[in-house]
Amino acid sequence: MFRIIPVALLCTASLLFAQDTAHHDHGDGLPVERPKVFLDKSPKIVAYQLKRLDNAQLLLVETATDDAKYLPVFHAILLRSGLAEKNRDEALAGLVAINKSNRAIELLSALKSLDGADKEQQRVGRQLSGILLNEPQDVLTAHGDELKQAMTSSGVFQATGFAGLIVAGQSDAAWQQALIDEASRGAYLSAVSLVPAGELRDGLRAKVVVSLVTAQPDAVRTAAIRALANIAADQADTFERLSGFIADAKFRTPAVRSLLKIPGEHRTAAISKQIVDVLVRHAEDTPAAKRTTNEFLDAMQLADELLRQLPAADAKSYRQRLQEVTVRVVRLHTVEEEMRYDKTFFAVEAGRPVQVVLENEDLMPHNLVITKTGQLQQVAMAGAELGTTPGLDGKLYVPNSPDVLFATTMVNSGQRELLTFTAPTEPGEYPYVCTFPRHWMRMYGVMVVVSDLDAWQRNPIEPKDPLGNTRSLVQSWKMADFDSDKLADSLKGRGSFGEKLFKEATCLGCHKMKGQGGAVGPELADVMKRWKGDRFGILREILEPSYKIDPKYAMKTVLDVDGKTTSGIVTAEDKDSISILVNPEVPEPKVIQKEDIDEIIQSTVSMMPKALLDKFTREEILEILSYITADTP
Amino acid sequence: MKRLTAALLICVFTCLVPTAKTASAAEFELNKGDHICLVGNELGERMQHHNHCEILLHQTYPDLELTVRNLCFPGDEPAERIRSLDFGDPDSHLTHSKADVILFFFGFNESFDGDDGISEFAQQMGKLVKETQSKKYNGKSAPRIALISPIAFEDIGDSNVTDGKEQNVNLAKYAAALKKVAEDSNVVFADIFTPTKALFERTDQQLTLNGSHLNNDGYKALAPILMTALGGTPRTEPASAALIAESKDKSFHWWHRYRAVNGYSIYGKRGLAGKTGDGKYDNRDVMERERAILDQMTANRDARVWALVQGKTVAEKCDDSQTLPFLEVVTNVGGKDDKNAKAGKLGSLDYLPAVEQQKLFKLADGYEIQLVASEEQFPELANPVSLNFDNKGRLWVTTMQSYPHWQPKGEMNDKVIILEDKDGNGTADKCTVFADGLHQPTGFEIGNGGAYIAQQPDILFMQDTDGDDVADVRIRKLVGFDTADSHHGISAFEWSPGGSLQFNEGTFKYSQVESPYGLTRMHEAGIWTYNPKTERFGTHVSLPFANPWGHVYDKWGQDFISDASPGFNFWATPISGKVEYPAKHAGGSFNDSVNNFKDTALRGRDVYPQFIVKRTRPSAGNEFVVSRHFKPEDQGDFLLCNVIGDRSILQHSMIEDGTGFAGKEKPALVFCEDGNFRPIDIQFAPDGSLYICDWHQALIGHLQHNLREPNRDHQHGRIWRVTCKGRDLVKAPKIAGEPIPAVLDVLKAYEDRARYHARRELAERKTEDVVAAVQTWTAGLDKSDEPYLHNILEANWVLQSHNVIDMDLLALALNADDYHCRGAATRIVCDMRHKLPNALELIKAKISDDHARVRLEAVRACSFFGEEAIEVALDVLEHDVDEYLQYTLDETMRHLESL
Repeated sequence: MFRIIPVALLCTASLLFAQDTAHHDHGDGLPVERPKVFLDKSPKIVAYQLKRLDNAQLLLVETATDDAKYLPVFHAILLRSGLAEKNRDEALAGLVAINKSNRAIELLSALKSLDGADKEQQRVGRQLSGILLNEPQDVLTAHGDELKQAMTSSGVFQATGFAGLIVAGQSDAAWQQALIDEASRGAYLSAVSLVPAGELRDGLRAKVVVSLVTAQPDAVRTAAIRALANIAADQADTFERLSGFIADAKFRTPAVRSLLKIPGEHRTAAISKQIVDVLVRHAEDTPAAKRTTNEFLDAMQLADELLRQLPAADAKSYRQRLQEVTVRVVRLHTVEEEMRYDKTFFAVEAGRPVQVVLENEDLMPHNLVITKTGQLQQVAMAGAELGTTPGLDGKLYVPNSPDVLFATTMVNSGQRELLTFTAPTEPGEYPYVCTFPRHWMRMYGVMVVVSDLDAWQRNPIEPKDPLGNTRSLVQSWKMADFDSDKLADSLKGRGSFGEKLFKEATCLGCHKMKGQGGAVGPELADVMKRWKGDRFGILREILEPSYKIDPKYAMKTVLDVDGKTTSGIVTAEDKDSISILVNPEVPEPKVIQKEDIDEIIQSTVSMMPKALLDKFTREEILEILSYITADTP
Repeated sequence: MKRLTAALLICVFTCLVPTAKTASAAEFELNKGDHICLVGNELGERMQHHNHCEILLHQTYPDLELTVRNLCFPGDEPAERIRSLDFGDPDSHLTHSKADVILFFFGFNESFDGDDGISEFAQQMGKLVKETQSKKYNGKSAPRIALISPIAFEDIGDSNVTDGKEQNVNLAKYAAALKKVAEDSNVVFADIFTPTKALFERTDQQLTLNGSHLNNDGYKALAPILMTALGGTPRTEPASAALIAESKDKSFHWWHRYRAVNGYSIYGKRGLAGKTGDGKYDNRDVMERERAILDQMTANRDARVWALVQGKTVAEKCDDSQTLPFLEVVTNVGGKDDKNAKAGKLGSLDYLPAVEQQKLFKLADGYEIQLVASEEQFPELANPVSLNFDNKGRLWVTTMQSYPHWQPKGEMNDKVIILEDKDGNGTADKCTVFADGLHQPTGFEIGNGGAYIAQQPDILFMQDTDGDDVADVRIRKLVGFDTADSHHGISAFEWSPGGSLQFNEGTFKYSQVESPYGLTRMHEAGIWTYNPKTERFGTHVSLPFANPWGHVYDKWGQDFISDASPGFNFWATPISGKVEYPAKHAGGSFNDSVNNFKDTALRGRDVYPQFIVKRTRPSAGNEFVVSRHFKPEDQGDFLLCNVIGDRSILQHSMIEDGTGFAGKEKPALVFCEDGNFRPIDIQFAPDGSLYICDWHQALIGHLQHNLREPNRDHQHGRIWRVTCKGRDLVKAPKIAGEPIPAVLDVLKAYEDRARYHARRELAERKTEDVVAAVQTWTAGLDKSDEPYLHNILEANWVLQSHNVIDMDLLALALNADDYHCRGAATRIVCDMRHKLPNALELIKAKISDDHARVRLEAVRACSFFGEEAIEVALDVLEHDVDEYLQYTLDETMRHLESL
């Protein structure tokens, strides 16, 4: 109870409150106070005030469409990173209404105003660019002149100009502009990744390939190498072409990164061997001090993957050479807003040293805890129960348990941590998991320990899902993959098959349906009534959970006066206490006295992960939607 | 409420008569051999320095052989007690002291929250009591608990200081809340609020230092009150001198064990530093052994106290022969692998005579150096650390022979000495010890008829009242500073132009200082500000410095800070806006580790810029060249002591650069080839020459050697004096004891230090005399004189030091043509806002001032007001905003938005 070292507490707090959270009321049920922004003062002052607000506060600023003084507010929301798409849509609508313009004009003007030197702004720029390029083709065509102008600017805006013209069907005009100078050609090549439609990107391949030639400046060739990674056509050819760049230090890193994106079936054994040969020599030539850079780790990851394509004897000899100079590295990334690691399994050789690099590309903190076989859930639950009490070796959310084999600390957004250890000597399937509260249900995988790694790599056997889930990825579903006009018809007459899928998709863990299920999310029995029959809107709730969050179901983190935190959904609240549902498996909420609460922080990201249905087919998704929306008038 | 019973002795002391009690709580019982621990705030903490309560307890229960351990810290609250790293939680200390009985002293600091805070206070107390009852600190049973109410507030009859009426209303409520907690949790409650309130009302004698905290007489009067409130019947016979001395000696040893200076080098991270030359021990080993010895010595003195109260005789000297041996520290100095020698940090163990050292100085063209005093003539000068001149023009120096840490059983005798140059030849010929028996007096300043002397965790006020230049009054004036590191101790005392005493503290420290206006906490370095006239106390600058050892004001009231360890130099105005603990301003060496901002724009040590490009480190004292004795081209230059990298007095020309300042390095004023030259403090003397305090040590590092490294020198120390060849000295102005109008005329002097001393003198004179004289003086000023506006500003500062505002004089300064004057006047409005109902209006007018410096002062000032100041401050964006102004606005907004 004594705050002896407040600094330590502050550190803990900052780790927990990722940038997507904002301070809110003390849970007394009173409406949250609007931040006082002096909208009638000069735009310079208003912009300064708005910049000082965090995301949640910014959304509380009063807005209306009847006065130009609200323009800076809409503008600030549109350009703020980490906000829900719905907020962006509304801000765009506000700007359109006041300026009597259209979305494309406002997006172009917003893109133009971005500060290219600021990383956050670049991120926002790519998102705005995505919205613009998904506008109907005729809209983009109508704004051809503005897009052409953008082609002569710089940064994301310039690339958007090229991509916009390509989407508008004026690919040739874009190419003509690209031929003007080096910067334009670079922008054209960066535009490839912005073009939404795969077929359209495939059509650009020839132009990208000609940009690879020796006669082109290095910067253009580099941009072309990057662009090729976004083109699905002729990947075997891409594999071969890019392999030629590996030996050249100038192009090695972009080539490695593009090659990493090419699926295994396009990686031929002969080319793979050439690449491995170069990369092994590269590893031997790299001084020890430089063997932990991201560039080097990427190269080693590629080498490791390509060893699978090689005959066992070759693979073994290369691996031995690599082991002489460097510990084998396994890279694991987190996926932004999807609450998962990018790999569901990886293999290590028994009793061998290995370095696992966890790179957190999500917006919230995650860790990586490797557990004994069969102990995933127990370890994760014990970790979550710790709250902010430090666990094993002082690490947050890592329980002091013999079931934990190896663990990173909590890795903040954009950070990475290296976990070096000697793999267990006993071959088997060892689960790994993020033990931040509630993450374990989706965020896990398996470290397969094998006695002969090369033998296994040639014939990898996917390990059993440690939680018993048997599905594999179908595709990353987006709203654009569904036709709103035809949705209602396609749901008709599907019967009750969806009920089984609904359970399988773990929906019941959080939502009540027909009296069964959890209370973490809203009850679904009357979902049609609440959505006034808008099936498309309901589908959006599933595919884009953060698009709009019902405040009742926003995850709240309660920080109590002792510095402990409890995260979950507030299920009840009275004068003296709040009840918070921490774990959907434990139906009893935790009751916290209000006098013990220091503050409550509300997340602007939904507790419901994205991509829940990415392991389901289109038909299955329609079955589930049909089931949810059937029982109502 | 039940009463105190001495279970074993009730038959012996038949004088223990039950007193009438109302509500029921636990019976307070004392058993033979009980360990009593005091836990809580300054009320309890001071009881070990004024031992009356403890002595009375022993006298009243002579056969119980009670062990008393004081664990209080000023500023402690039930749920918040900040400490330096790894000090140990309260449980660990209560376990160490095997507490059978705990007296809790809470409620004073909390009471400033008024009605809003009562329920939280009661809840926290209830929780504390409940948790304490679940512990067995003595290994056998739960501790018996008594909740002691706060004392009442005394009206000391000084209109500059709060009369305590409002505080007493709150204190009564908080005392009642404590009583309720005691009843609910069945523990003892002792009401000392009601009887002290009655006592203050019926006594003319002042019993507090400042209205809120008892003085020695106050504690003497409190002893029987507390004993009675606990239900006992105090003995009335006076304590013998021997008993008082013994009790004091016991408390002394406990104090130096529990509040050990250099905690960060004992239990904190640097405990692992200081490996001995043979690799056997580190600081923690060596110093924890000393703390164990202090525990034994404290226990030896407990036994002597018991013997005395039992009527036995004790040997003249306490027998400490059975204590543990000290650990032997083998030097790590010397040899070809000496890391410190290689790094250029080590001087020479062959100390040169001063006359030889003098030959090794190199001075800037036209200047020369002479020895003022050395340890050769005045052994008392060993380890000099700071210097000041009194209003008679005499040099005062603090010395720290015990640095870095007094060793148990040894002599604690650090000093403040006065060095006089009777024949005016520039060398000292007389040394008087003003104060001795001190521990680590890292800094001091003269004023208020005495001297404020740092000795962490306290600042003493010492005074000579009989004219022999030897202090005969010694008061623990300001207490609650942390002791984590002796070389980060309170330093660089400087009077602000408006009469506040300001002093610096280094990192690792977690300090809590109580005042009649409430509690101030600060952690990890900053500058404190204390106004002796109003007793207001607070932070002047809170920024994650490393160890700021320099602070100086220029003639227009702009101040500048030198941070020693990193060698950084900062303009202070933008970082002196208000922040509330635990927030600190952004910037400084430890910005990222201390502030740990989420917002990346606030991260990094360069978020707040320095005004000179750092080339070398570390620094110490600083000073501006404002002396007609120095060359005209050096006027206004910024001087900076450097004790390792260059062993120099570095010199920088200064220009005004936009809102702020820029310094550019010139060749050093002074450099010495003697590696033992360690210029730690500098100041211009009244005759315009520059005095240098030379710590004179071969070993400079605190961290690089064991605290008990045998080669740390405890003998050497020198004072040097720089003069300019061929230029006349300045005629030292007469200040001490001169008539007020004459002293006011000194405010027209060119030299900053002359005006500084004149203001310090005027602050000590009677307010009504000064106010009247200022009116006459300002009326007689010639408006066409070039320094007219500066004279007006000085007059405003003099009034401010008396807590007085003259609106006409202030308006002259606020509306002056010179922006320097307007800026300084804006600062006065901010400082004196407690006297100016329209302060924010006056500030608002300056937000749109023609000059950015004034606008910056106004934005800074906004931080001291409420949320309503946000709108005022924002309007500064209608003008050009440079880096300093943007920083100040951002910091002001950050604070106001947090309200």
